[in-house]
Amino acid sequence: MGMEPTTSTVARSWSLQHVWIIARYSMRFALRSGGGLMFLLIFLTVGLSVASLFITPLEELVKMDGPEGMNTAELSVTILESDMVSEAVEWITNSDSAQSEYLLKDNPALLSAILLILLIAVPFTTCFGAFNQTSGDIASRGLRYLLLRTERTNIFLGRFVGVLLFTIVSVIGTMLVILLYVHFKVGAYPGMQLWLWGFQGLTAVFFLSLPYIALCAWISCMLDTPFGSLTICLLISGFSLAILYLLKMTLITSMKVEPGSLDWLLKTVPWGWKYELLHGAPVVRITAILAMLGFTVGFLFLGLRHFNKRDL
Amino acid sequence: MAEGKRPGGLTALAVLNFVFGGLGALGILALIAVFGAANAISDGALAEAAGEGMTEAGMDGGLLLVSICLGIASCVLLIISGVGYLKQKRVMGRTMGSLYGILAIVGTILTLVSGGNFGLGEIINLIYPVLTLIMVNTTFKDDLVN
Repeated sequence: MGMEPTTSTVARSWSLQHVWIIARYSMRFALRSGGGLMFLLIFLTVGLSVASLFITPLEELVKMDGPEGMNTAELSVTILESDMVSEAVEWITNSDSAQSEYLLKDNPALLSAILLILLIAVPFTTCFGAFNQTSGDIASRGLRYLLLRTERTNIFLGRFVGVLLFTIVSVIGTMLVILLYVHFKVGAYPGMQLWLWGFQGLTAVFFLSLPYIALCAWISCMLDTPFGSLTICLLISGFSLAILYLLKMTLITSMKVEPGSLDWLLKTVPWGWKYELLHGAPVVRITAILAMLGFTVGFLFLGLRHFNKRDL
Repeated sequence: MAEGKRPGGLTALAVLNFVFGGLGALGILALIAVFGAANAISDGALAEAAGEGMTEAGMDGGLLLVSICLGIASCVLLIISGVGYLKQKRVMGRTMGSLYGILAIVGTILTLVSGGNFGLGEIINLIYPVLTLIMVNTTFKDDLVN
């Protein structure tokens, strides 16, 4: 076999068709591998438990003939639009009263509350679905058979897209159950408003999960063990936050730095941008989306560089 | 496919079956033990009070008993089908797994009919039976044929 010219090698290194075939296969077989099944169970359970955290107490209050015989819809509006909840939202999202008003009064407050907590869980739950993109096959040397037919870039990107599609399907399923329940059982908000806000929440969850799936792709191609990959992914997602929060606290208490001037510190990780994805101002929202895409491209670049060099 | 290696998802499903089946069995045993002890201490007054409370709440005692029996049957089926998944058995795995899914769904419906409330808790409880029912009859259909 003669040596192929360099241009041909470059052309062969990237094929949308190959990426799509690998992604489809990876998505279809996600449930057959234990990881996909666990992710689906974890995401559905976490999503619905978060929703239950807000809805069940309201329903219990109504059952006990709660405040002035209100129904669940009236009770959710009364409680979630109160000043106390508004202050709590400002504290959680580190924003001003205009943003809390946007979340609680301009949009369905119950869904906003569910989304705010769900966005905290997304980085960690995403790791359960994305940790084994390549590590298991690297360990079993299974990728060698695939390398006879396609290039490393296609395998890496195909697996990433496959996990992304599986995550999207799982997120849509969970959000659909929550929205149907809030629409038909609670019935507190006009249908169109609820579903539009639900769609925006869905896109927020999607954009937040993107950089974490890319991070897992990078870690997964670095390590030969799926368990090690999951552990490191979870540790990076959690410990990076702990370190940044500790650093911020240290700077504030020891060096008397203004807390407001350190807001950028958390923006060095995707976590710091998550609530901007639900912001009322379109410019802020678009900036957050671009930041998430930037993190994703960065992690994918690092992962791809490592995957192309490593021994498979 | 059937004669080949067991898929990781099927192993995960078997492990989850053992976990949920074991937890369910423990829960039922604990409930019986606590209720029995409390009833013995109160000389049967607790059973009477529970019966009156159920009548006041508009709950049907017979249906409730059936749903408890279905819960016990579900735990047994979970463990049997878990073994079936590991051995990739058709009857022990696929049939028993499907039966568990159907029984768990029927149990939830009966609880609702007997006066229980339909909430997010019930939906969360239905996730696993519905997933089991779908997966053993589609994704792992060709793996459970021994």
